Amino acid sequence: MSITAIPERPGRSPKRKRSEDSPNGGIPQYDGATDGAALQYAYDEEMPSELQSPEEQELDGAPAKKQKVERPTRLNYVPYMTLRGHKRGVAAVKFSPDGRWIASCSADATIKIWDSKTGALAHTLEGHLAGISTIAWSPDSKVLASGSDDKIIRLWDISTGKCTAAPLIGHHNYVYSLAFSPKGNMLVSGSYDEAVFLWDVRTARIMRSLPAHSDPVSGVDFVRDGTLVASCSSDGLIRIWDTSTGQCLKTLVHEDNAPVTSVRFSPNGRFVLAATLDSCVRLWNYVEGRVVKTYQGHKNEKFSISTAFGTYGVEDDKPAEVDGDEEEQKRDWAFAACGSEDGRTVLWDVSSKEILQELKGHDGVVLSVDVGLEDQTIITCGNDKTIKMWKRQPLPVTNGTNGTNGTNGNHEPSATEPTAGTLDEG
Amino acid sequence: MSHTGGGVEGVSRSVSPGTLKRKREMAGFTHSPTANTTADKLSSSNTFTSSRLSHGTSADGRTTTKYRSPDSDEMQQSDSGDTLRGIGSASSLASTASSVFSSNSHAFAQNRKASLMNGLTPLTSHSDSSPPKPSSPPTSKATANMASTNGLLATARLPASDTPPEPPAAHKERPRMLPSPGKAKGYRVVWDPELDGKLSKEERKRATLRKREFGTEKYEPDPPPDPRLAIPGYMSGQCRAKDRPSKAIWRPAPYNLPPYKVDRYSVGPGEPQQVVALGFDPFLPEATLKLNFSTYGSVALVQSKTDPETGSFLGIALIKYRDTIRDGLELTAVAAAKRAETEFNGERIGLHTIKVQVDREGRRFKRYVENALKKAREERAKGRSASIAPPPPPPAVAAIRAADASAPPLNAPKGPSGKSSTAPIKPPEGPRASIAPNPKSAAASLIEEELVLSKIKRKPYITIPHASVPVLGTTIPHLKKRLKAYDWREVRLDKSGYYVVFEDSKRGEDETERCFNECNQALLFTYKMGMECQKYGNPNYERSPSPERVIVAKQKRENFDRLKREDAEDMEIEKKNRAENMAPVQGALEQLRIELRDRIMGDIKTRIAIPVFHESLDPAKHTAKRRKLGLPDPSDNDNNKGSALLFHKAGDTPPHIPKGRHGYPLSHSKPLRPHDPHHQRGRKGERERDRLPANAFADERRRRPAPPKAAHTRGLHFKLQQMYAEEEDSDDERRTSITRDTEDQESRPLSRASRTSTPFDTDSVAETPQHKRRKVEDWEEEEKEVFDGLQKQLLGHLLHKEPEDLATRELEQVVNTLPRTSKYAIRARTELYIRQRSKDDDDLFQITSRPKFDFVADYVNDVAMAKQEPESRPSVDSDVKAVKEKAKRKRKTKKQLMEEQEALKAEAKRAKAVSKPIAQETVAKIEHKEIEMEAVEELQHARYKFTHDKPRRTVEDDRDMILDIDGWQELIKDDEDLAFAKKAFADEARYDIGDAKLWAWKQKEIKSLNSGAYGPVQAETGIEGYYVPNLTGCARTEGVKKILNEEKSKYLPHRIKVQRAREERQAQAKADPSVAANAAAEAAKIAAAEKIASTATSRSNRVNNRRLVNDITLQRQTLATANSDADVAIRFNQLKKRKKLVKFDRSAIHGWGLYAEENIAVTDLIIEYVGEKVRQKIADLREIRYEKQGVGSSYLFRMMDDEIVDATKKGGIARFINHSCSPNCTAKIIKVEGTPRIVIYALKDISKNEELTYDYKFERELGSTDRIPCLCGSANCKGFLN
Repeated sequence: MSITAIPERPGRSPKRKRSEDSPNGGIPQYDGATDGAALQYAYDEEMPSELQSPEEQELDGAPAKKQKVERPTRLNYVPYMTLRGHKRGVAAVKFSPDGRWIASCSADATIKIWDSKTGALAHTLEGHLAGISTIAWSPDSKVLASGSDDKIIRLWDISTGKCTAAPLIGHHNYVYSLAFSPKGNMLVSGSYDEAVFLWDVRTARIMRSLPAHSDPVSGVDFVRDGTLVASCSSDGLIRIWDTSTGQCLKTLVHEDNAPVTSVRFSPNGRFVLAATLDSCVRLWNYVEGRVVKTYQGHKNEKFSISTAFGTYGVEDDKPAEVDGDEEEQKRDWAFAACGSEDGRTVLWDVSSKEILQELKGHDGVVLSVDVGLEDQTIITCGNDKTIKMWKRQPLPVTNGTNGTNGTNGNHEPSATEPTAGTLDEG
Repeated sequence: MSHTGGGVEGVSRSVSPGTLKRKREMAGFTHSPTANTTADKLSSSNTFTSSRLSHGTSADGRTTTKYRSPDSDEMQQSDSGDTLRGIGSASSLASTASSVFSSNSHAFAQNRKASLMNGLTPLTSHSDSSPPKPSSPPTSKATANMASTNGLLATARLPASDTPPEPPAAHKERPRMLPSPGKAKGYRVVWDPELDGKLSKEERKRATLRKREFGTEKYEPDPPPDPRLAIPGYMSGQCRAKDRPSKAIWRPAPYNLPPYKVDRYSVGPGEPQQVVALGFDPFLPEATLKLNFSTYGSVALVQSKTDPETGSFLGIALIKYRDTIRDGLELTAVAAAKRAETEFNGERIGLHTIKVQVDREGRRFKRYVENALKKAREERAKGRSASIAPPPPPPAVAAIRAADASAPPLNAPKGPSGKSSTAPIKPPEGPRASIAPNPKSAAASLIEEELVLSKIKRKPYITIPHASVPVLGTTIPHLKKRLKAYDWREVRLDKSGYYVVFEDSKRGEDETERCFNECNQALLFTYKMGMECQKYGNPNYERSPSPERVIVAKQKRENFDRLKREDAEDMEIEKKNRAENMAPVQGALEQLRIELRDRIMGDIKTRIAIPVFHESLDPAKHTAKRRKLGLPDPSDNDNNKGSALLFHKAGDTPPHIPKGRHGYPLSHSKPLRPHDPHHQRGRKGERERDRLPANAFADERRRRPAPPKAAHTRGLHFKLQQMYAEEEDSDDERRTSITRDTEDQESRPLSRASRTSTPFDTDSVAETPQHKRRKVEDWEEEEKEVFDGLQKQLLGHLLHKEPEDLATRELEQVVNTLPRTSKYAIRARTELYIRQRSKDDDDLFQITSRPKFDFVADYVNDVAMAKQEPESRPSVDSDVKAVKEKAKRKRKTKKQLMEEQEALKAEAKRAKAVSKPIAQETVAKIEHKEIEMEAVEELQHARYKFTHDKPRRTVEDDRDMILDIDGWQELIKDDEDLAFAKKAFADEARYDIGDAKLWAWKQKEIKSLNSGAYGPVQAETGIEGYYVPNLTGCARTEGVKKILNEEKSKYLPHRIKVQRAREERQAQAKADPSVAANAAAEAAKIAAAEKIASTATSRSNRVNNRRLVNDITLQRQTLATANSDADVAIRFNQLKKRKKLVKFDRSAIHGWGLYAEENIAVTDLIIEYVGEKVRQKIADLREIRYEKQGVGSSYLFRMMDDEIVDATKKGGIARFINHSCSPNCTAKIIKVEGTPRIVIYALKDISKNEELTYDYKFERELGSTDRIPCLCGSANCKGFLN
């Protein structure tokens, strides 16, 4: 896994070139990434490009200057509310792209739509005959797709709570993973029948069937421009497909060949984050087919746990460290989040692989985690039938290294928190 | 790239001959440099040739327009244009062109100066500055000029000069900076005596300088070839740099997106908010136009275009809409524009059909205007050239207006009066050119030659005879002013007097009268206007039939004739057929049989049926019922009237006895029940019978021709209900699948759902078409619609027939041809539907085939029981009698109820036993709640029938019905049932489901969503195909488990396919032992072949090895000197050499497979199995690791006892060869130079693209739980690999 020997390649992006000018040689280090410059650099690599303001990019030329802003080593997400109502384990939870809704699907064959602000239950979508493993929001936040054990993918109109007339039928076993294309015209689904289907949403027909894997397809995702599809399977492979031709462009295999349970493109579309059953989350540079980062510290050996990306910045309540430079204050870093089978949700800094926070609150497996629109909220769900929402709070002033994490993570919703959070279905 | 390529192409094509030509012209030019006329001619001829040239080669518009410019000045210009282009695109031209330019620019400057001296503007700048437009005036003129000869050029150009000013011809040769081509540019000294050393001093002085002129050459050296042409594919645009990828790579869009909707975020002009209207009368006032268009939305702006030269309206208008709120509804400009286009296009304003098109940015409007202007200009030009006299320079109308002192001022209000004042100026019969140039004649021309009266036709008008006001053109404006208070249309004048014409409408008539009343005998100047009012137009006007009308009439007649002729022909043919086919004896027999049958039928009907009818319909019998339902005495009831009629005509037995029976009592019993059209049928039948006397004995099962429509004796509320019914019928297409399902459920007759339950149901089936037919009747009175020509052509005489009379095929044709909305088509469709239905029903009848007597007998019973029926209805259960009745029925259904109870118990037990699936459990536990909730409704749903022959169950239970909520609701009919159900579930705990109704509704929704059906179903709504419920509920909460191969083959489609094929084969083998024998034989053969192969290989091995050794030694000899590694290389190569072409691809057997890419003969070596050679121990370890890593396939090949070839990570493609129980290959271990190798040999002849297989020969693990299923699909498959 030593990467240092990789030669420079022509035709890199300017950004990349710029980084290569840095003393570190521009190659993200697999280990020993404690070096400040390397950190900064790696950050640029992994950070979603849309988050970079123009000013920032101008400033990028002087990496030394940036080091003035210290990256927070801790995050402080506190429990904000707990959404109850599902009768069985909650398999997936997703913020709608517009941030207004939270959708959760459960093994009790229902989908619940919650208001993300108040936590009020807006809809309970019923219609599946078996538990629902996966959901996906359409980019316009109006349609929710759900994939169930009854082999059917249903599309739900969120405004009415009704299922659209034509379900997507074609899988031969449980539908295990779903993703909408960024245009909303296509849906990719992975199933226990080892196939990846590309669906035309409008006609509810299969556009393409990708002969993908030799084991259940546990995760699928679209890259942000919709041209690539990633799929992963318990057979240990991650494959990158060309959406338009159906060609497999790349197959990513880790030498351990551990079953991959979730795959997700980074927001800038240059990496994939994959969770494997060897309790690792790996960040792959899929173009080069190598692992860039490996995140550890959680437990994931049995369940198919989804991952999420989020960003965090310097908080406002620490003006002392900021030298008044406007642009400097806008610095954002990215974190990756993954649930754990011991009830935690672990947040890693993408570049340094440090654990930023562990969100403790669930009993049993945390099956899904999603980060909200402004990165101020995280939702998690698990086999304990609950959905928990976490809100970002400024770090307490007297912060010990581990103590704060533990206490913050563990404390139960108290009276100071909105009581609306604990909702039971009537 | 292609663009530049094309450009270059165009240039090189048009220019290279052009330059030559021009050169020749230049030469001519130098020869006669001073003569004006020559220059002129020359220039024109030059342009002429070049323009001709451009006609031939007009590759781009630029060239064309440049070349076409006819004027002498533009000769230079065209040159310079060329030069510019040459510089811009083709550098090869530059050398020549620049030389040309230099000589010409001189002339150009001179020319310019001369023209300045002439006091004329040098107009080269005109066309120089403005980019040439294809439709711009100079071009059109140029083309016109081109048509004229060279000699006429000057004169022809003159009249055109009134529009945009034209450059005058150069009258004087301009001084040139450089000598013109052909003239000596200078001289060169060829011999200088001063420099000649041979000469003496004297001689030197005497001698003169010898010099030679240069520059007189008439030719220029050929331009150097274009270097770019050397690039291959340059002209075709296919060249590209090697290192750069082509931009022309086809990138198919993954998906065809619908066009983006325009919303507030979109940029660009947005959806069209304006429409362009054309085709209306140019003199239509803007207000009228606005009024017309404001029906579709609020009009923001009406822009009616005028000709900039004449000021006349072009009849093209741009109407812009704005967003408004009308009647509380928001009406957007976009919608308005769209509506205007769809609805107003092709409509008429006045007499003119107008064309309306949406116009997003006004471009269309501009184009139309441009076209119209161009046309007008051409027309004017034509008119001018036709008349020798020079036309007046200013626009005619304006001149007239200005000159005519008495005319209304130019800024007169633009009302109808202001507008129409121009109307008489343009007499419709003459061209505009005939307008006299001087005002006097203009006024005089207002006096029309022909009598106005004959043209007025039906329009109301007022005459002022010439006796009262003298005929003078100048009077008209005064008269108009005088009458401006009235809304007249025209004021016309002929020698008999003035005619004030009004609008041809009621309003116009009123206006006429008003005008007459108020102005008659009024003063106009000194004259008294003695008026004559003709409110209804010219009293003598005789209308001649319009040509359309004549044509239509003719067509009608023709059609009629044709139909008649065809009918006659048909008759002829039929007659002939009959004469040919019908033997007289047979015919007689047939006749006899028919008569006999009729007689018998008649007897039955008159002797048996009629008395029964008579009796049953006796009003006295129904008094009790009537009284109960509060019906009036039947004597004034139309129903009774019907029966009376029936009775009256009892002689001919009604053809619909069975139907009538069912209809009457019911229609009496519940006057306020929802209208069921079936029940009306009986009465209608009577009406029908009134008119159709003789046909009573026709086969009853046959469909009768549709009865004539019912009169309006029924109340209006029936009409109303039928209206909905009809709507429902025609709306078929608009409904979604789900709604269709539901509606069908409701709309189809109840009896159809369970037609087997009682014999009566068959009637109601038969009667459905009747009800439909009634609707058909209703349509009849609606006005006949108009069919267009195409439809007429297609359908011809069919249109004249009633749909009921059409043959089915014809009906289909009608339905297909006519638009869906056409009433006729709807009728035809309905008729078609009815026929299909009745055909189905006919079939049904034949199946039941009940004797007709039964109907009668049943009817008697029925009538007898009819009395009791109302009481027996559960909704009216207050009566004592009813209670008794109920008790009776209870007895009847006791047994059934017991069964039901048992079913409930069974269900409860089942639910208890299967406590896992929540849904079932809930169903079991809550149904009594459900039942309570729904019981009341249930009672109404229950269907009660009568038995006649022997006691039967009142309710037939559907044993197959699934007992979900719908099922229970269907099953439990009344309180009694409910009580039983309650009892049955008494020991079940209640299940908390929240709101029971909501829960029930949701359950139903879920069911309908998944099964597509509402109401009770026969099949369990469940997950189709392979499904193993997860313990935790869903796959994701369950966690990742290893899926055994065995399980996979239950759901993976390709495995299922193979498995099915194998099962089929096995079944076949079982059924037909010979096949099995064959298979066995086959297997034996394979085994034998294998044996042979082994021996053969040992033999052929020797041969091969010998050959190889020979080869190797040979190669060794050649290579020995060069390379010491040759030995290794040869060893490596020797197996490779004989390898066959194979490829790997997805396999039906498992994952990947290896396929032959050429035909392989038996015993041929195919491929070597290559991999890492490991020891047993390592292999075991690796196997475990691979297992852990989830490598699905095993690529370990045991070569010898402790030597295993592992091809998993490092290995050749031979590892992809799959197992088969009847393989076409075999793996042999051969020793090549002392090392064992695994080689795959062909066992059979293998054809191309066949999959290669060999027997893995795994050890049998008969007791193992995870045996690897064999998917080879061969006949003698053993089922498992191990």
